[in-house]
Amino acid sequence: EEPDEEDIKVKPYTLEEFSYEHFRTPEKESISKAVLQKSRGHSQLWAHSKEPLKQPLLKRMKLPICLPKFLLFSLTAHLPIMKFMGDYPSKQAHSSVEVTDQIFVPAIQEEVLRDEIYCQIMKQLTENRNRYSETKGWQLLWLCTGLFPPSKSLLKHTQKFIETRQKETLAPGCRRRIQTVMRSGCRKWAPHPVEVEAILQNNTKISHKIFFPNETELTFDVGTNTKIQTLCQNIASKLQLHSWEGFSLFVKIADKVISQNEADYFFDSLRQVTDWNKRNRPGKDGAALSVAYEVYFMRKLWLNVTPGKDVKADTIFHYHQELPKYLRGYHKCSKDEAVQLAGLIYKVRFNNDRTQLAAIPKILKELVPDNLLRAVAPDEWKKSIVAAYSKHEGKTVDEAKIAFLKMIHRWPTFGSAFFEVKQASEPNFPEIVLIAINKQGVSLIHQKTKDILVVYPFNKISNWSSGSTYFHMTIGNLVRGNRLLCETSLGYKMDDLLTSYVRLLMNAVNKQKNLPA
Amino acid sequence: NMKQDKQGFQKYVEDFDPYSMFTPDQIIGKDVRLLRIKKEGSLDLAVEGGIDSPIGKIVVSAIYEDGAADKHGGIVKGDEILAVNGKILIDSKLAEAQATLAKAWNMGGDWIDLVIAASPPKEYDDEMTFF
Repeated sequence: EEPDEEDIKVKPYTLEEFSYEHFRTPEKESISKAVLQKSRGHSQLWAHSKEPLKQPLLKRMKLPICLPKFLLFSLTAHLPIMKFMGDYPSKQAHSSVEVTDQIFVPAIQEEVLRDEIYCQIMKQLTENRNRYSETKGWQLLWLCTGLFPPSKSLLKHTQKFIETRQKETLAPGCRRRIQTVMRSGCRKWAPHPVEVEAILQNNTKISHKIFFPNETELTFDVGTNTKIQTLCQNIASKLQLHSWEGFSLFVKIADKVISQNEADYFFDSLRQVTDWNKRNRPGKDGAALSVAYEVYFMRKLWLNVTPGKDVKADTIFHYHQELPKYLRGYHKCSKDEAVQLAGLIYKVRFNNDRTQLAAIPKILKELVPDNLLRAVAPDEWKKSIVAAYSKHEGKTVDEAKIAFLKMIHRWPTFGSAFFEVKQASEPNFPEIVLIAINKQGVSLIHQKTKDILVVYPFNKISNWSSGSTYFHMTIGNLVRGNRLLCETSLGYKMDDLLTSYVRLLMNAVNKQKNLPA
Repeated sequence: NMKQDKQGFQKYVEDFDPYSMFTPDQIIGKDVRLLRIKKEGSLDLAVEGGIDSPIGKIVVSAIYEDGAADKHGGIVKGDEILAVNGKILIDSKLAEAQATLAKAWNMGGDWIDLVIAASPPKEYDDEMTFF
């Protein structure tokens, strides 16, 4: 590439000036090298070096008050930086994320290390004669500027460094990213594999697939500093939902479905979930990050849901989320209701295709709740379902979905998350019970009869906690109180749901009182 | 043979009399077993609970893949740990129990003895999760 006039005139800014005040003195060998070689830059601390650093660059990293672990980190950060840039051979095959983790994880955790990382990256980008290494260095700077800003003393130097290298494709972006991260807050986790892979391909735009319960998916742009809340709003807007309140993003990984916190950055949230999964199922290091996951957008909290009011929400989400729970047999449902609902389910599935009606006995499980399957002979089911279905010829599929929802909306268990648990605190109730968490609170349901044994409204629930094997809740107060203790592997989910419902309800109450949310 | 695992030693020690260690009310209704785990690598077993927790006992919260506990096969998530090398954990807080386990694993000897109350087979389904 021919350097144009502009480049020759503007000398790329370096950390030389900053180094006089903030860097340590060069090591003995490099001084003698400087004397021998007399070449500007090659042995300067602030310029590219072929040898790994033996000490941190920053003076303050050597102070006695600086903990040994920081020193150790500063020594070990330079090597992965050089490995990422291809300046140092790597004997073992490491995934790129393993290398970026080595560079960024400690700096995310300890603020004092961040300037050291910035300095080391900019050092390796200064007077770097190798085009490949330089490109990789800019990718590192791109990642770095998405995580945390340099400190006040280093900020101006960093900005000038970037501004005087405008011909670098990533330079304008890096400058912007520093502004963004100063404004919206630091990342809590090192770059996610998706982010690392993207920049390795020189993609500055990342998009992520989002799945919906009606088995469709869409792709959305997600930036380094996109928050979950923003993405939720974008999705709701794209799908033309009335509101995204009560909806959430979820990560489906292994056998778990975990909701993401709306205040978090999207990629932080993803990392948190994949790392949590790794911790709970430790296998070989690094292997867990490649565990497949899917991001879902679904309704999490069923407050203010009236079928028919938001047709998009009903037809994309509510029907498809309620149907599997209905078929599991969690609700109290009569045979007549089941027949009517089966007619609607068939309509949604097959619309006006009557050829599948003959096969109803074979697909009963997909039409009728599990606990009613044997209530009536398959042919009896077929006869009555066909009759029920025939009433819906004039409906559209969407209308059938809403009709289904309107029918089950009458039940107190509509819009619940259900949990089969073994409870140990209520001697009067069966050992195995069904728990439903919905807008009314926490209900205990008889597993066989589906009768509601007790409902604990949210305002009566005083405390709750969970572990890997249990969920615990206290109701009322010390004087007249009660507790619920159950054995379950889904304690984390019950805990999270309860927390979310209570928070949303508290916000609503505070809004009415004009208190801050 | 349920009692033998691939490494050829028995999962549970036969002829173990729980009443030699515990009073009847401590173990009523519990399926108490003694197992011996060979000290190879890490134990890779996590516990939760404790006397000051809602569950009031020490329960295995995770068995990590390929650790010594996993390879032994005789202890799983949900089992209660009643004693470690003869030290009874029934009234222990979580930190104490964790320290006891670590100490027992790291001190001399080729084996660790765990007395557990095996959790009964699950009669409910908590694998599926819908919202």
